[in-house]
Formats: sequence, structure tokens, C-alpha cells
Amino acid sequence: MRSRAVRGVLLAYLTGVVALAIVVVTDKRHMAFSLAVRPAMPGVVVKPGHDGCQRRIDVEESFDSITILPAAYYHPVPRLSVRVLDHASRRPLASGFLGDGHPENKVTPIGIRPAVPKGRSIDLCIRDVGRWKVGLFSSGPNDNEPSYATIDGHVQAADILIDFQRPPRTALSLVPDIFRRAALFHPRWVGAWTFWVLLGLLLLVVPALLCLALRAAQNRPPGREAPE
Amino acid sequence: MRKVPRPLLLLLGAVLAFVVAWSLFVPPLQVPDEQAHYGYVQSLVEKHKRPKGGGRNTPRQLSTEEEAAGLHSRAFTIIQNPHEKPPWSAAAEARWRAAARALDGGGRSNVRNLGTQAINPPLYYLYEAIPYELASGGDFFDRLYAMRLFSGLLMLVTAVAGWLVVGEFVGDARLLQLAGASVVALQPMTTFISSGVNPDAAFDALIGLVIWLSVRTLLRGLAWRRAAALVALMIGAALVKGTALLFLPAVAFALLVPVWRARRELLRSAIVGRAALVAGGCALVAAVALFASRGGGGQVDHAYPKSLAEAREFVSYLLRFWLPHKPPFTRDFPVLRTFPPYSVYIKTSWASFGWLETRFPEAVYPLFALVSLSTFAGAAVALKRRLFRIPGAVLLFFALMLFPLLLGLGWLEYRELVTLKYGIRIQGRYLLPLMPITGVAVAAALTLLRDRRRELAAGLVVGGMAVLQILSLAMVAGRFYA
Repeated sequence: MRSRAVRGVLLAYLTGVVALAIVVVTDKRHMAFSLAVRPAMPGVVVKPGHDGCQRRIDVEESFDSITILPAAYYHPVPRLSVRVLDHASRRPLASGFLGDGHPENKVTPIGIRPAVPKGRSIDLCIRDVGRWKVGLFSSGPNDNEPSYATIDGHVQAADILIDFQRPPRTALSLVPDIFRRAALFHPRWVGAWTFWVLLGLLLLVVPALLCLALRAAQNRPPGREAPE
Repeated sequence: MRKVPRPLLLLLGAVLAFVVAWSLFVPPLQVPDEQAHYGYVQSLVEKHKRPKGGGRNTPRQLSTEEEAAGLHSRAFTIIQNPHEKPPWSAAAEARWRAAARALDGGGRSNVRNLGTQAINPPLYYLYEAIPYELASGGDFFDRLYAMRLFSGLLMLVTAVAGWLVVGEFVGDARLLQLAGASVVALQPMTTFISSGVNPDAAFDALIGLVIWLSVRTLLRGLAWRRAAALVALMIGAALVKGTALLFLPAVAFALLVPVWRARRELLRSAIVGRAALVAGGCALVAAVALFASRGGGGQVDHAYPKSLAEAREFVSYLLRFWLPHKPPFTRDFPVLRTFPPYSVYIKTSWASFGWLETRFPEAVYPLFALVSLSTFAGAAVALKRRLFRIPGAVLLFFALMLFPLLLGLGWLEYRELVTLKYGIRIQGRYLLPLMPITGVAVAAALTLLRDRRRELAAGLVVGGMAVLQILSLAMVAGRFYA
């Protein structure tokens, strides 16, 4: 018969796994990928009729909207037209539009149609089609090699803060992606398989080890009692 | 040779699984100051000397190889930027591989400045030089992850130390020993830090053993081999972090109490001789700590208040830090706008991963505070009811381990806040070397329960710590990879 201590471990594990299951099933994630740009300042300023672009972006996952952080200098954000171009051929792939009335200094989503598929290298250009300038929050130029920002084709010492979004997916459905991503920038012997093995170890082998440890701990030498 | 107890062996198996998971799952350089600690080892191996640095105001200048790896993996830009992620595409990794190939094995020896980490003593870095050298035929990430796994082995020592410390109090009650030890061995922050390149891995392990030998000395009397081992461990700890100095009063106390107890049986000259030996050992540890950490000059501008006004201000700072009610204070320190015992010592010792930015939802932390308080309150009740025995001298030793550390950390933070110069940011993980004391408290608190409930509670403690690790790893997954 199982000891109470073993039941305690199993109860803790079961509770933890159920809690985790609830989280991963209900937690929905929108982010396709990011450029890891810190919102240091509105460093890429685009005047009406001009283009600010972030070029040579790896499309790590398919996306159908972006978010930017625009400053409009005490105005609402001006109308913006977004174009997604193939980096090599400059062929248009998708476009989007931000209408009037959006408050500045807030993360602002812009829908993109059609969705841009994974695997391409793209340029994303934001044209100010309003009546006043917009400052796109950005940071230093080394945040996202080899991607770089331009205004009307002139390279800027900054990267634009753009996050790429897609329809929400549950954290559970992302697990294979999570393990694939975690294997990047690792020794070659580490792959997604490593994390599947570790998951199995942590969810099955570790509780077994702990149960065995507790059972062993309860087998006291005969004639000896625990201190009261 | 004594056989390793089976429960400990099995516990170590579980610890090893978590160590490997943390080592491999956390993205490169996302353990606090890992880039500087790596650079230190690189400097030792490639240039055969300790790196330059010492001040916060001089920017770190890592090797070309490490800068390239950090740049391509976005390791530096995602630090404390929880909404931004590392690259998720194989193309980014391929670009890094091309850049690394272009270095043709070079770019490793030009570590020019490591900031405050440069003043750290070298022992841990010499230890980490072994995997660096073993993996030196590989690329940057081969070496980094080899170093992480090697560092993680120290977590096993920490776990053993926890087992030994708790064992001093529970006799043959292995269940209590296992429950107490699991709190040390499966603590998520200790595992996370130990499984990265960070000298706290060695420091936690060494101080754990120091606590064990000190407690053993207090419980069983002075044995010279044990005392020598204790001084050797303290020298080892001093060669890892200068903070070891803050534990010196407690260790001196542990060594002097048996001398005091034996005063009636010994000649005066023998008492004086033994006390002198203890003092000499402590002086040696202090000298090693100060020499190895270059006088601690890179951590704080001066070691004690230089005027009455400064002392008063420091006391005022401490009162504001520790009291919920805030007496008036002339300076506005951000940390004091919160209730720091909770926001610092509870939150960042339980679960604050990455560069402190990877945390559970705020609502979880009051639970951690409640568990912490209940544990120590339960232990106090168990002591009062004499269900669990800890001699007064050992309690005093525990206090002497804790309070100088708190005072020292308070002083470092206070001077940092005044000067904004040295980069100390007070964190709960600096208390983790004392986790074996928490293990004892857990074992004591469990004695409040009768046999059946105690068994269940012990199982819940052991399983709960493991589950906390899994939830923590899940949170890391959400932070970096989803």
C-alpha cells in the first residue's frame, strides 16, 4: 500500500500538473515574433508623405498584424499606410492601414492583408499619409542584426519597435514550437528532442524518484523512532 | 567508507534532472551577469590572468566572440525587457554560425573590461575553466552550456549540504531529513542560478557545508580535523565571493563556543592557545577574502559609516527598509517605496528568473510570503513545545549567519543608492546560501503534525518543491519562447 508521504508527492504533482494544464490551455498567445527592440525613444521620425522602413526582417512565423508604438507630438496618430515587401525583389506581399483617431504613445495594432508566410526576408514600410509627423519608438541600431531601419531609403542609427502578431494560439499548441525555439543557439547535440526527453523526465521520472526517496526514508532501521 | 543514504541518492537524481533542464532551457546569457562571469573564465583561460574592470561606470567590453554570440542571439537586448524575445528562426542561428566561422577560432582573448564582476575572487572561475577548456574545440555555445552543466553539479553539493545540516537535528527520522533537504535541493532560484554560469553556485554549496560543519561543531564539540575543514571551506568561500566575510562572526562563534564550554577542563594556556588558533584561522579567512576580492573596492566605496550623520542616515534607511510604517527620510530611494522585506527578500528569493524580470503573476507572491512565515512560525512553535530541539548556541549561530548578511547587504545597497556607482541591486538570492537553515525550519515545523499528517505533509513539501520548479520552467518558456 502506498504511504501517505508518497500520496503527498502525487497529490502535489497532480495539483501542479492540473494547474499547468489549465494555464496552457487557456493562455492564448498572439506574438508571431519580435525584433527585440527596446522602446527607448521615438527615434525614427516620419514626416507626412515620407516612408520609414524596417528592412531585412526574417519572418520567423506567419503574421497578419503588427504593433507599433507611435508618438505624434500631442496629436492623435496620423493615418499610416503599411506595405510589406519582399526584401530581395521589392515585390509587394501585403499591406495595411491605420485610420484616424488613435491615441499616441500606446501600443497600436495594424492589420495586414494577406497574412505574410513564414520563411521570407521582408521589408516593412510605414508611410505617413496624414498631416503631421509621427515618431516611431525605436532603439539603437544593433538590436536586431541584420535588420535595419531607413527613412526614404536612408539608413538610420536605430531599429523600429515592431512586434508581429498572428491569430491567438494556446500555449499548449505552441509546445513543439517552444522546444524548437529553445534549441537554437545551443550546442549541436541539443535539439527539440532534448526538451521532449526532459519534459518526460520531469513529469514522470522525477516524481517516481521522489516517491522512491520518500519510501526509502520511511524504512527506518528497526527499533528506532523518529524524534517527537 | 559510508554508504550514501538511498533517499539522498534518489533526491540527487531528481536534482540532476532539474539542473539539466535549467541549464539547457534558459536562453544564453539570461542568468544574472552571466556574460561577465563567462568573460572572466575566458580571460583566465585565454589570457591567463584575471580580467580588468571594477566599476559600474565603465562599460563591459567582452570578447569579440562573446559580443557576436550575444548580438546574434539578442542576449543583451532582451535583458529585463519581458515583452521582447530571442530570435526564433534558424536563419538567425545560421548567421551567427557564419559570423563565428569568420572569427576562425579567434576573438576570444580580447576581454577588456568586465565591470563589477572583475573584482570577484577567482576560485569558481578556475573551476569553470575546466569545462571551458574541455569544450574549447567547440563554439561559444558549446562552451557556455558545458560550463552551465558543470556549474550545475555544484547544486548537488548544495543539496547534500542541506541533507547533512537537517540530519544534525532529526536523528534517524529520514522523512523529516528528506523533507527539509528537499527545500534546499529543489529550491527553484538556487537551481536556476546554480545551473547558469554564476559564482553563487559554488558559494551556496560552500556555505551550505560551512553551516553543516559549524552546527556539527556546536553540537558535538571541537575536533581539529573538522575545524580545519571548516576554515578550509571558509577560505574556499572567500575565494569565491568576498561576501564570505559576513559569515565570519558566525563561524568564529561556532569554533569558540566549544572552547568556552571546555574552559573548566583545560589549562588556561590551552584555552588561550585554542582561542588564538581560532582567531588565527578567522584572520586568515578575512585576509584571503580581502586579498582575493581586491579589498572589495568594486562593490562599495567604503565599508562602514564615516560619520555620525552617515550612521544615522543608514539606520534610518534600515528602519524604512524593514518597517511597514515609514519614518521620515530625506532621500527617495525607489526600493523604499515598496515594503522591501516582501518585494525584495520574498519575491526575488522564491521566483525571479532571467534578469529578475521573469516572475509569476503578482497574486502568487503573497502565497510564498505566507508559506515562508508559516514555516518559521511553525518551527518556533515546535521549538517552544520542545517537539524539536535546537540548542540555544545553534540558534544564535543561525542568527549570526543571517543578521550580518542582512546588515552587509543593506549597507551595500544603501551606498549604491547614494552613489549610483557600484551596481549592487539587493536581491533575495543573496540569502540563498542560508537555505539549509530553512530546511531545518521545515523539518521543525513538520514535527507539529502527528505521524500520519506529518507523512502526508512531508510528501507535499517534497512534491510541492518539484512542482514549483516545473511551473517556474513553464514560466521561463512563456517568457522567452512563446
